Amino acid sequence: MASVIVKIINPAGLHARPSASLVKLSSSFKSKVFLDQDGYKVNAKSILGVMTLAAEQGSELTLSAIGEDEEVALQKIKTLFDAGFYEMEGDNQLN
Amino acid sequence: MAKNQTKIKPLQGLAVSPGIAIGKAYIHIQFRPDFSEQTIPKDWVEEELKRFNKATESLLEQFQGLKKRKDADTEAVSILKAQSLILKDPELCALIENLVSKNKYALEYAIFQGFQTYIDKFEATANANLIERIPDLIEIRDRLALILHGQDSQYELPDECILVAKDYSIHDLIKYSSRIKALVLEKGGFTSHLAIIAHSLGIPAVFGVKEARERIANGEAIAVDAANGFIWSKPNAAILDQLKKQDESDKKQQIFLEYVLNQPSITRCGKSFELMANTELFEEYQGLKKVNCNRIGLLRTETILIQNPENHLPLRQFNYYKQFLADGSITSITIRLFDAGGDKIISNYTSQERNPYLGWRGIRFLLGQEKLLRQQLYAVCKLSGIYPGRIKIMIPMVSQVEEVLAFKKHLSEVQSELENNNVTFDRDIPIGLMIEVPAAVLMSSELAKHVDFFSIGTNDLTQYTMAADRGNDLVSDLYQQTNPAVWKLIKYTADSAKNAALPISVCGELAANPAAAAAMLGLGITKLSMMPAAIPKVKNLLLNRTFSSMVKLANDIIHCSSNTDVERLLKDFREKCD
Repeated sequence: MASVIVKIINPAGLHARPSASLVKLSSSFKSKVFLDQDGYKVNAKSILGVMTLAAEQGSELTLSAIGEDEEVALQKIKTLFDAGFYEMEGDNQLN
Repeated sequence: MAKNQTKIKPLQGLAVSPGIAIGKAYIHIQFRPDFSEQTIPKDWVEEELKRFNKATESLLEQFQGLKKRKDADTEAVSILKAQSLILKDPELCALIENLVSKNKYALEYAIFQGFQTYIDKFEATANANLIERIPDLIEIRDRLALILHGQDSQYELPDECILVAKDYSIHDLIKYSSRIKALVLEKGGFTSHLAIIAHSLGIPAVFGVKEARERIANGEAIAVDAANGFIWSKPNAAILDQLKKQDESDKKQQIFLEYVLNQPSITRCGKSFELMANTELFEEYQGLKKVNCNRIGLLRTETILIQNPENHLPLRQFNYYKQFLADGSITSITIRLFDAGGDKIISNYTSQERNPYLGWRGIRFLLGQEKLLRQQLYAVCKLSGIYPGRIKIMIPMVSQVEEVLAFKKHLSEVQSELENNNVTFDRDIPIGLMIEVPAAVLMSSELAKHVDFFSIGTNDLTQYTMAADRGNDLVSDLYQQTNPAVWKLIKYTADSAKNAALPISVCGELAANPAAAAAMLGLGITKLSMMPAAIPKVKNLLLNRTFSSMVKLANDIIHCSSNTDVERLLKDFREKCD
């Protein structure tokens, strides 16, 4: 079992489109993947579960994975969060 | 009798997708799935799970099939994709299977309870985005039940019917779109997915019609005026006649507009011109497509500050601008920097001034709010790295060369910051000036040395030239956009631009006046930006006149001694063919 903290940086938060990309990516791994927000834990391969997080911009979540490809799963999924689900190309310069 | 009939009140609802349809009503009775509480004996479990698997697979296949239909547009496809993902949700499937195998629920009841668990969760979040998705869950649930029931939704619709129902399925609307002349529903609002799809399929639709199924009989002749949200049951000859006339004139107008919009933009004698759109909100974007316009000559950005004074950071702005370019149809966009001040008061920034129009606005304000200016430049430049050659920057309210120089210093500093952050940007991003202050007109030759284009803002130019506030009733009659004084300034600017070989355009309301647009062409200004709705009528006139007649018009206007004379010239030009 491995885990890492991820942060939602895209302005719209974890709405329908980012949830779909997250679920598709998570489903491509053999490991079980979870997201935990303040103790509310959901299966990251479940679109309905991910949507009920209703996570907004700035939220921090614990991403964990268990299984043979857990390390690479975490790394790939974290990259998706860090890229703001490729919904935006901006960054926090000049803020 | 006939007299009484005309007094019959139509049913009324929300006009969600315009158009007129006359035909026979078809009352669609929805299959009501039986979700009653039922349990099964232990040895049925395996069979129930198999049925579930089969139903899920068959529904996924239906989704795939609908996605491939040629009348399923991108809007429909994205909704279908989201629904497929829900149907494949491992947690939902496990929950339903568990209710069958552990609780011994009959499959239909397990499906109902499984979906209800998530509907309740969505409701509990009180998050509007999630609550909006609940109809999707219900649709998938009912669809599964339908398949299990053996109906497989293979009902037949009569051709050319006006469908009347309590609610309707997106899937069925796509599937039967060629048979449905119009859609009348008891449920639904403007923003429902169904409304969006009806609109994109061009099906007239009226939603929210109370008791429609009781008040309209199956097979009865009805007329739907979906532009106004009226439904006439048993329409009499007078109503039918009126609707048919309206329909014909709408269609003629549509054919005419399509014809005009599909013509190349050249005058009768072959001189080319370019019409662009002034825009502000992304919601207006569809309007641009309707008039075949792929260039935005003026994107007003103040709305970002007005709507979100606290949150206008580069990232948010970047996304705001990007949405206009994302689908690739816009080939050029001129982003005007925040033009705060004047009548556009932004509480966090602008202060109470005795005379705001002569006060701290446009570039004056931006140079005093460096952070705001640099954030905007950062966002715009960064976007230019993704869409090089498509983005231009326009500076509002310039009155002297020093302002341009100060602006360029900020721009180059922001660009070096981008460079340090390894962010790519368009190094040749064109910088232009709004010419809207008489001082800028008179200094246009000097200003031209420092920038890449001019765009004349006729609204403010009129106000500052005539020294009349158009919002002040006492002097608003002096606010004359077509006053010869304003035309002389337009000509002066056009001549300076020509001498400096600088591109020039007009982006004020005056360009939306077809004859005035012709006169601008006559002055050598071939790029005109206006509200999208004005493009067809302006284009129509420019297509049908020769360039030499436009030059003559412009020349006559410049020599007029009063606004009345100019107005008469413009009117004559519009009415008479040359």
